[in-house]
Amino acid sequence: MDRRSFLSSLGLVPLVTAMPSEAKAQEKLSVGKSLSRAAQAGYLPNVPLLTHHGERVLFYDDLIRDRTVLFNFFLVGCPDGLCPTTTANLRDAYDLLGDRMGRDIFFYTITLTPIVDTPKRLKEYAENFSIKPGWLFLTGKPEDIELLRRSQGFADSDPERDADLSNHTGMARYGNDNLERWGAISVRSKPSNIASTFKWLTA
Amino acid sequence: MKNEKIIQQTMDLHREITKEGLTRRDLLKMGLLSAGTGMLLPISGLSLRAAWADNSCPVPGKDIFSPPTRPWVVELPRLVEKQTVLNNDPAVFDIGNGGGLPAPWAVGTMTGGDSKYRCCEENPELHFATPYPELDHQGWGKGLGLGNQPPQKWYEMRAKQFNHVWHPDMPAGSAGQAAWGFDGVVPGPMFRTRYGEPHFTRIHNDLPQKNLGFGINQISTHMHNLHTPSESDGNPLYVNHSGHYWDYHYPNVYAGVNQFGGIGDPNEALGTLWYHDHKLDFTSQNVYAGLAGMNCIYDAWGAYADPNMGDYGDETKGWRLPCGNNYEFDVGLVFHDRQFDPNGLDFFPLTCFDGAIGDKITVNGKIQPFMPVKKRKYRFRLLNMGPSRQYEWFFNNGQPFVVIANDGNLLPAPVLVKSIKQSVAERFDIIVDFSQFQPGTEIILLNRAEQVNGRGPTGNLLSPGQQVLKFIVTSDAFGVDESRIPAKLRPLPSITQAVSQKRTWKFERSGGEWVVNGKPFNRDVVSATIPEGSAEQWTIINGGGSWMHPVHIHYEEHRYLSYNRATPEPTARGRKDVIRLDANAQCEIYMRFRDYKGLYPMHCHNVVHEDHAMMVMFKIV
Repeated sequence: MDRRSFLSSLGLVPLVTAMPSEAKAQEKLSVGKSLSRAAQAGYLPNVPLLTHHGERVLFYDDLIRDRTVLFNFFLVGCPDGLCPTTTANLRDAYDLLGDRMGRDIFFYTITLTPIVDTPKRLKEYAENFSIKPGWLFLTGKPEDIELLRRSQGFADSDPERDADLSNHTGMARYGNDNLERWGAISVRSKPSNIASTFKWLTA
Repeated sequence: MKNEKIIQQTMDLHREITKEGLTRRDLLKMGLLSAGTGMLLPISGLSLRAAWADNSCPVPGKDIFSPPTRPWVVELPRLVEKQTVLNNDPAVFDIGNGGGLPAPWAVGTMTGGDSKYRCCEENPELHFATPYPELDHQGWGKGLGLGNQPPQKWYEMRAKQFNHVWHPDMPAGSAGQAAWGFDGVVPGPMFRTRYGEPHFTRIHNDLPQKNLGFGINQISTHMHNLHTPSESDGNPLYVNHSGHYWDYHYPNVYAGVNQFGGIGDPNEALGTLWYHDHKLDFTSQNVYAGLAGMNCIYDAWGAYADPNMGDYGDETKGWRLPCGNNYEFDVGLVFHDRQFDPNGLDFFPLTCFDGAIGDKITVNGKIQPFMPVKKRKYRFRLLNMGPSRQYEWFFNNGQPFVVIANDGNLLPAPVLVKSIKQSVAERFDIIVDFSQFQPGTEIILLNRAEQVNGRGPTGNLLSPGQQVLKFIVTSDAFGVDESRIPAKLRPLPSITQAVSQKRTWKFERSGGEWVVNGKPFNRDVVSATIPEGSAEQWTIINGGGSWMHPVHIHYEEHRYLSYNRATPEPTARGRKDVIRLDANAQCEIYMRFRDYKGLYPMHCHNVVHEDHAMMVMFKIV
């Protein structure tokens, strides 16, 4: 996807016709399904995002509901150089989780610089790390990413610290929306510890 | 539109949608859903979250409001006195040959029973957390660890879900709403224990898989701050799984057994302790759910040769501190602030990293209760159960009161004050004398510390302050008040043992996490290895920002050598286990590590900071 069509898909430039995938995505809130309390309280905004495969997804409906997940924030142009090491660390945890990955456990890595981190750029990054199914790199409209970041507490109440993006890349949120269990772990934790945390979420 | 209204409408809307099972298409048709973002639109066009989206933490009274409740309509409940198992008979426990180990089930075959086996089968790294791979209890006997102090008192306790009424004016009314607690009460029962009488508690985890919208059904119950072997300390690395139990052995010896022999040095006595969940990453949620209670420990009979010394739980003996029959005048007060949504449902700010504060301050599980008191002296044991608020206590009539213990440890002499600051996990024992008041007199305990978020108090004093608890002086008979406020209390042990190591620990925010010495907690790292019996000097630094950190060090208490390069306030000149580390503060403390071995943590007791992940582990070897 080039830059223009990427921005179009986010509604930043006018579109001639609505994207068919948008209409599809709107149907996804299925009948009779209730929102978890975390979703009700607004912690899990159902914002539209784009995956590194260029697919449009809704954060809550498509990525969180009925799943056990871990998600973190990063940027391709990582100012402190730590993002690649944390990606590698999470990949080791992915390997330890084996065939549960992509079945009931999913990893999501969301960019903090959505304007420059297009799906194409995310795809290149993911390919560099041999990222396998069950792990998505995500971008979206800046205001949606901002809402997601803040609602998940990847924010600092001091505006100066908040403006330093490297202050938001050290931690991953993990949880099981069905059982309403939400915690956080350092992305620098030993991969075996990240993997064993998932035992807590389904017991 | 006011935030309060937006929040109310949004919550109502969500409930309606959930109830009706509306589809996205229905919502779009009704104009309740934004086609662009998929966010729900309340009438004003704002979502609930948008009301506080500029800051990830909702400010009570600004972004979120609890329903109004009338003050002083509920009488303060006494903490339930914990009883031993029937006839104090350990036969119910099936603990094998009395060695502290359950029957020797093979690891890997457990479907229930002792969580220690499951803990180590699933997380082999924990197997090495205790000094003894067989996970036996130090201090029980069998030649392991120190001494031979098998249990004399036997208790059993259950963590479970039940309905609790925080206030009858809440929309839930007298039916109450779900809470988690020990033995089905919040706070949990009050243990009254004694040095020289080791006790055993089997804690069953009966928590359901489905939580309260926060919390996790896995626990590790910490006895804050007993001189306890590490396997019974309630280390956050241990897990007591739902459907299982964990056996705790409390030898109830004073620190200094190896130095002094017998049951240690009575000048090291603790007094007001509390127990609470310490599950890694989930402590704040589980404690907020209600998993905490108190434990008093009294001196061993005859601990001091001088008959005028000793805290015996008997106001005719030793220092004669207020007690009465059945501890009537020795009263635990547990303070715990909570937030409710406008519909009166429990609210916990799941993703707020600064901390969780609420606009309703509960005492022993009730909002603004009253307590009838008799015309005599009372000993109140004040506990700040958290999760993140610091109090500053005053009486509305300005009357002074007597502080006799800080963090449960009796001071060398009582200190007369008009107010005290109390951070999370700190305990203060105070004596209040109501004998001077006419029956019908009402005295209100006020919190005057202004705090608008989890960072810590602003430093402003509220006037008049939040009304928390009302005492009403009665004309009821009470016999004779035989209690005293002695001129001197427990002597401080000498701290002349040479320091073998100095260490510095800096608590700060970095990389969006809470860190100690630049690093978030890592389960595999032991940050200090300390020989048993040694003394160390630690420098504790608040690394900046306007955050306050109540730092708690497990195991032995510390003594301040200096606080901000000065002598600490008079009430802090004894032994403490919580450091009220104000913004930019620095202190030097003296620490000893005697008797038992194993892993113990040091962490911030703003439990939200602890969970994310302001903690280190040290190991006594």
